[in-house]
Amino acid sequence: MFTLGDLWAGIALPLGLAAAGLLAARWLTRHRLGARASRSWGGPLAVALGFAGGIWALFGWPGFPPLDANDWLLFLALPLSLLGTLDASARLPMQVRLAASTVAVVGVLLLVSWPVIKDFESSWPDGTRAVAVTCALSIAWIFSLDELAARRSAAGVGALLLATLAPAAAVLALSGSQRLAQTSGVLAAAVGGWALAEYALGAAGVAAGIPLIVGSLHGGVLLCGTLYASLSLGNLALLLAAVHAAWLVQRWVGQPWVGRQRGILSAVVQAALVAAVSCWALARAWLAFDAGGY
Amino acid sequence: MLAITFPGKMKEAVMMGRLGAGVVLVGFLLLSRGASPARAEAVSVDAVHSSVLFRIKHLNTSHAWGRFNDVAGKLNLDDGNPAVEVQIKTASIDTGNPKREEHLKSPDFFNAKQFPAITFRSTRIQKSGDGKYAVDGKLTLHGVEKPIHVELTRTGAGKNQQGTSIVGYETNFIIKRSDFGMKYLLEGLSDDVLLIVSLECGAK
Repeated sequence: MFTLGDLWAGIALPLGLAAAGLLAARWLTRHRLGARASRSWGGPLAVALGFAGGIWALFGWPGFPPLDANDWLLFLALPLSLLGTLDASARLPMQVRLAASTVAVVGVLLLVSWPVIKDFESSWPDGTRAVAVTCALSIAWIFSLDELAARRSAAGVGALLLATLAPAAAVLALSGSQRLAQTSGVLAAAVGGWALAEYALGAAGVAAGIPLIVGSLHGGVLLCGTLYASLSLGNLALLLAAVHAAWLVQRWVGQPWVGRQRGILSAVVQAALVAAVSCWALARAWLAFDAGGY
Repeated sequence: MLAITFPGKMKEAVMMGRLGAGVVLVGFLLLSRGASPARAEAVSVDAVHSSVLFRIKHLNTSHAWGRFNDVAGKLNLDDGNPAVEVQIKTASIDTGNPKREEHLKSPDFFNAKQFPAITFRSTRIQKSGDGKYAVDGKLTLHGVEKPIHVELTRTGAGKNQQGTSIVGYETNFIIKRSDFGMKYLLEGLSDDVLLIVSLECGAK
């Protein structure tokens, strides 16, 4: 049951906050860093602002430390955005970026899964396997999207993200938890707000730092769905693997034997493939769903 | 130092006498322990014949009822040091609709994987009448511990089919779920939740 208030707090507010956050960040940094350097600045902070604002408006501010493990995501949004900003602004070597992404993903996933995995004997093998699979797929998700972000406009990356985040929210809604579905929806709305603002600013924006924060939060929400609600590990894997479809297309269009057509067609194909894989998970969740009158 | 020595058969008789006195003494102690109400032992909750029911208002319209099927615990109300301990497995929630139970077990409400048990531990028990007890204690629900007060009534006593003495207790009380951090969908499902706990207990 979603009310108008839920739509406002869960979609309009995070979208508006993220868009306003990016515009403000670019305006502030443009004079200090110059137009070119400011293009990669502010994205992670804008997404974190939209995400935190939406979650706060929907569920209120939880105490610290939070009761429910999924509430850690709200507190992690800011540190992740700082790590994303560092990733975006400093030209770090690949090994350092890999280490930073691994630390971010492992940190987020350990915090949200701790109530289950702290008792290793009872969490083995299902809980431990879910954490390991989510960890590996989330790190791969970040790197796959990072490579795409280096070649695509920020708005294009935003479209790819929305193609998987929106179906993920619907899958979670069918997997027993409206709260996790709304959390995923807020993340999608915040990414949408950032992407819209990037589009409004022109095609020059760079999605640097975005994969780290979005990938870590997305992996965290999905892991909560598997550990604490009824999201199957298969659907979790499909949702996290969806972006690799775009990465494969990117690799394919980059080959000389198909030419160097990296225009609108490949972007549409990429988004369609990502959406198709994500909707595969949605179809599986829908077929398994039996409300039984509830 | 005085030493008394007994010859052969007399020594054996003295030993038997001592043994007999010991048996009588142990038997007396056991009987007196069973007979005295001041030394009563704690009784265990019989999950099959106990019920933990809850009632919540749906959309400010009707009352929805549910129950928890897995309840355990120990009660000792007659001893000089009375205590009540009850544990309920959150995942045993039963509302007659599996999808609703799945939702109630999710992080939206009970978050049963993270908080697998609801517990109550008494901190103070006072007899408030014939078969009535005023019980103060700590209820832990959804990871939040809060002090509550309940009036416990002894509903009866008897013997079960195995001949074991059994005793029944019942209480009902209202909690605010938001006090325990369960704040989701307060506009659709009331904050006040009525709990009815009926326990049948016996020696195990």
